[in-house]
Amino acid sequence: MRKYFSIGLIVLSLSFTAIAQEYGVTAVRDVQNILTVHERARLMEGWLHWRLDHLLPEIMRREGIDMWVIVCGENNEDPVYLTMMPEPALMAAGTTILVFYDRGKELGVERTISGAYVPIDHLYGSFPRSDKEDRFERLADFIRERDPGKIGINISEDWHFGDGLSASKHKKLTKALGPDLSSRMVSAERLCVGWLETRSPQELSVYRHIGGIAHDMIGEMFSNRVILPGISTSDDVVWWWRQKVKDLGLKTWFQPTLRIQRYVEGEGLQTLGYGGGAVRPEDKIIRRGDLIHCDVGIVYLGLATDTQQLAYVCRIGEDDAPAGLKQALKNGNRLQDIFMQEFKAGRSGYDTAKAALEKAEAEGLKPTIYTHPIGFHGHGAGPTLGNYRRGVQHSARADYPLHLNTCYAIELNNGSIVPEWGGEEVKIYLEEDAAFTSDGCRFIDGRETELYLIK
Amino acid sequence: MKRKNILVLTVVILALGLSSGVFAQDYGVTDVQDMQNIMPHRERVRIMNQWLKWRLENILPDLMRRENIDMWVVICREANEGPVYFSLAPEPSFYASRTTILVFHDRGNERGVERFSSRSRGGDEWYRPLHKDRSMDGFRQLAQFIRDRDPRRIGINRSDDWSFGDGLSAALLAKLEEALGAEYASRLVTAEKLCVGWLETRSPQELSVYRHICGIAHDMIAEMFSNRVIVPGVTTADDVVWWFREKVSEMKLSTWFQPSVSILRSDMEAARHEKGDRVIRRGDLLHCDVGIVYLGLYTDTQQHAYVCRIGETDAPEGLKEGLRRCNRLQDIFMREFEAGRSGNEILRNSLRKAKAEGLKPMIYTHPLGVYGHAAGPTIGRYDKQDGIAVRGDYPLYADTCYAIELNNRCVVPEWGGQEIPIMLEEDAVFTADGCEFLDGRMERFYLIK
Repeated sequence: MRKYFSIGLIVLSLSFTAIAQEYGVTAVRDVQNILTVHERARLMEGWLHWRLDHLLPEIMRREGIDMWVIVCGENNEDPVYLTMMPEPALMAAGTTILVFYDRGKELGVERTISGAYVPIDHLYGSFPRSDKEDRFERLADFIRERDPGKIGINISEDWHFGDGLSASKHKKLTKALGPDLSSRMVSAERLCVGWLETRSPQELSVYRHIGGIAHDMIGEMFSNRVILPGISTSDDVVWWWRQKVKDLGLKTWFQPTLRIQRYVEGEGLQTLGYGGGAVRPEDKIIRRGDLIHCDVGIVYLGLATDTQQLAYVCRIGEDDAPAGLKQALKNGNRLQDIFMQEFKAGRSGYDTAKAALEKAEAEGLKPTIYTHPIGFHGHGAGPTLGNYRRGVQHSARADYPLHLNTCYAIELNNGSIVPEWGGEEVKIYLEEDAAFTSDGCRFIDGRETELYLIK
Repeated sequence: MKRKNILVLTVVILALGLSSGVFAQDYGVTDVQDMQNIMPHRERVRIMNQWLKWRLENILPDLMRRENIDMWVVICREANEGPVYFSLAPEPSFYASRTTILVFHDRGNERGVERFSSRSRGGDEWYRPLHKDRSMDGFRQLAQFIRDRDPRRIGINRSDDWSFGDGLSAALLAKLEEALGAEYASRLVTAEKLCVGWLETRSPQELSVYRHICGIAHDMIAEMFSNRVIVPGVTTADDVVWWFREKVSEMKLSTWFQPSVSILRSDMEAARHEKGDRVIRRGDLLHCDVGIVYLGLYTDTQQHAYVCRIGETDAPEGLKEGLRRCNRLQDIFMREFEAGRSGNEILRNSLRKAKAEGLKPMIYTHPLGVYGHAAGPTIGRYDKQDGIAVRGDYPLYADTCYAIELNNRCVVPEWGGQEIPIMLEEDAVFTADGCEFLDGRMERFYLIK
């Protein structure tokens, strides 16, 4: 009896694997291994400590800043502030001042903070005691004593990540520092960007797992567990993602979208499913024969993901997508390969995207590239590689160079003629997260090479 | 011997299980209701947008006129949104796209306040398009828009005193002033009090549901301060802290500060353990400071639990008397809430009256709402019992909420005459009817067996 039972189980599990593959639900692994809130906080605190000890000094020297002063208000935090604090911090404690002072290679960067709601003595020193009431004057004394050459502050026209200093705090700071010290102030914009974009070895290693969680979730979403052709709408799928993110104890950083491409004999190619209240509800229903395309993301352990993948909704009797759509995906994969081979340290976002587009066009592809950095923020700090509407253009952010140990959401599309769809040009929208290291640009958790199939 | 012990234990466990209904009341674990009624995400967004619509149409015009601002210009950037942007944007909203400009123009009682956004393409109920030509520089178009409408007083989010009114960055202000030119730049005024008013004023819908949100927080404390979570002699205060964080995540809520759980222990008892001992032990008085965020509204609560010694069925009378006195301090304090009174005035009056009754009070109450340490008058601070400049001078307006945070020191005869603080924090609303707790308060200690 017992023996038979075991055999039955094996048979069941074998056939389950087969079905899972067939229907596009990959083996779920990463999504079943989410850490508790406490474990996350401990891990992230360790990462932060390493980043402060090892990354910050290098980047301060690269950008030629001797002292970095960050001033922000509670509930009005600077874009870099929360990436400088251990996870339980959650917010600034009143007007909060951070000072990083580079004392050279041997002594390292001195870190000082004016106060916090959580214990952070192991990461930051506190300002010396003083009789002065005004914190800006205490700060001025502190700076005067150290007499730094260049003082970086977070003011920037070009980089929102480097623009955290408010108008009134800037005025108070300048007044307290006086003309001599104020004249040493420079924009710390590139330091902000460098700090945000650079990933530690620990972060890079775990980013694979985070990308895996997002992929697992898409595997579930693009299956009959979530989508019933003729019944489910694009909105249902979008809100399934939002709820799933919460159920798993994760966060997201943008409202997911689901778009439908549909070929109707005599009417041609239609794009449906997206557009808020303006779209008729019946146009949001996912139907057999549709090519659907998601744009989804999560935030876990302080790192964001951003992924676009596609699924084909089989007609009755079909067990695969039309060959033309499959070829279109292959062409999209080819564009990814061409683009990622162009990543070279020191090359600007503009040059990288431009070179990739030229090579892809020479191969007969119809490419559009609009890739952005990813990391602590979904639209992360770093070089812009093309724009969806404006194409590849020069700008401060496009002319910024690629640095090693940075991550990107490789976001692009390629148009292909699909014979089964009346010879219409169908765009394959793809987005996969990748890391750029001395080994080149590589996907952190692979990519889609076969369409998900919804039965 | 051993076997006999096990038998006895089994009997005790059985008895515990049978009488758990009775224990539930006795030990302060109230009937759990609110906690089991958390909405799915899609539903939350629908509710929050209904609230926002009402707020924009009914609260904002009143406040702009109260603060004498003809046009309010909110400028912010992605990942650097400032303190008010999200309170003005319909859900789902995760970030301001690039540089986002919102403009609110008061056209008087009949036409109301018109709303514009640089990101709007029209066609929705929220914001009309600010820019006609999307290829043109946003600041130049904004300047043209302002010149066309010619408002007298233009509010911008720049403030020396209020973090909530200080969302405009130095670089964006420079761009704005340059685009406006000297004449219009001279019409710029701080919108700090408009920001504070907008954030602090609660709609009737929000006030009604705030009770439920505080009920969820109270339910969670009831579970936390019970033997479901705490085993005396085993569980540490830090275990309880992280239980709360985990619970918040499991319930699909969020929080806005790291909870704290502290142990008040008699000196006699403390001498028997290592310094800094964080294990929860029998005879301890526990204290928590916890909060949640749900439907965009924040809670902040401090309550106590007593850990019974074997054979005890209640806390020592001295501790219970301490709690009654602290309740009395809450009553005295909340009766001083009157529209138009400043935080400092309420603080002074309350402390004087409480001391006259022989209490030993400290008051450090803060507004609560869209933030935890929210916009509005601050009434005392832990390190400042004689009032606070600017934020303490701000007057009390109706339909605002507060975390009534205070403590009263009491002498505990059973602890060898040791003096300890009873520290309470409960969320309350101030309306035309006075100041009332949103979901009641602690009048009896939770008991952990």
